[in-house]
Amino acid sequence: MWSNAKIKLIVRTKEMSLYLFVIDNNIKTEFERFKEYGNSLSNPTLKNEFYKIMQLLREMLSKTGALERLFRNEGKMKDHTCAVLTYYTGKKRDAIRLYCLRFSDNILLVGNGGIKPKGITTYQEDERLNACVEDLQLLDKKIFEAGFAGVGGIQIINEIPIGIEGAEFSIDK
Amino acid sequence: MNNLFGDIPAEVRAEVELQFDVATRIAEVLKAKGVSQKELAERLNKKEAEISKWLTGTHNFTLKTLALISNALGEKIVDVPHEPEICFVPIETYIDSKINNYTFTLNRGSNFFLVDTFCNISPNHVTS
Repeated sequence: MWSNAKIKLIVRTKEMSLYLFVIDNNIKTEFERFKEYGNSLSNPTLKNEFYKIMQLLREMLSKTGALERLFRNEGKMKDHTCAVLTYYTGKKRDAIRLYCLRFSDNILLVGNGGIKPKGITTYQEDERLNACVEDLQLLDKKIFEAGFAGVGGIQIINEIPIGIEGAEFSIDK
Repeated sequence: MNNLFGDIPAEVRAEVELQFDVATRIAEVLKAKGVSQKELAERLNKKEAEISKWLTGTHNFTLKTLALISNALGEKIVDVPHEPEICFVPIETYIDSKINNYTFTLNRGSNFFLVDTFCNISPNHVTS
């Protein structure tokens, strides 16, 4: 779980704004770390799936935005938006998961992900995946806390956080 | 944007683009016709969860499934470009008036020859 997190707006198209976040002393965003992870995969099926997820994000940016039907909800109901981008949803083989916070059709914050082994049914059963989701859940919580408190220029309008670009959060441990 | 997502192989891009576009097309037709996912599932004797899966933009549709969906919605989902349709008309057919009038006179019991330029002429334009 992170101690410091900073949100970055990485690209804005007419369909949506895509945000990434960087945690603690990392130089790279969580999404960039996921990209490195995906590019290092040696299993051709999983690597192909990783490429497909990347292309799926491109499609959303250029064509539709982050429509609800394109995501599969994970996490808890109270997370508002904890969602996951998936390609393979079967149970017969390993699959790639990329976790995101989907705030609306136009606002998506992409985090990190990894391989979901075929033997598990929930992300909690895998240490890496659980960490990815928990990082996003904490960020989600902090964004909404700041929004409801009117801190850091973040506002919550119709349950959607506005003004998250450049927002920074710290947790005392 | 290329930098952001890295080097995605061209064949993967093409595949995902198609899958995404087909899902978007189905979603648009559902919306335009006011058909819910549940209703489409009932028409196709499928579970609603399967329709949701189709609309994620990642489903690898078979031609059979696409045909079933087209049939259930009364709308083409994909359209493959092809040559203009070829029509056969009686060989003794002659154009009764100017071509622009699109009026034909047909003689019964004739041989046939090929005309490929008047394919969109409706039966109303043909007299015998």
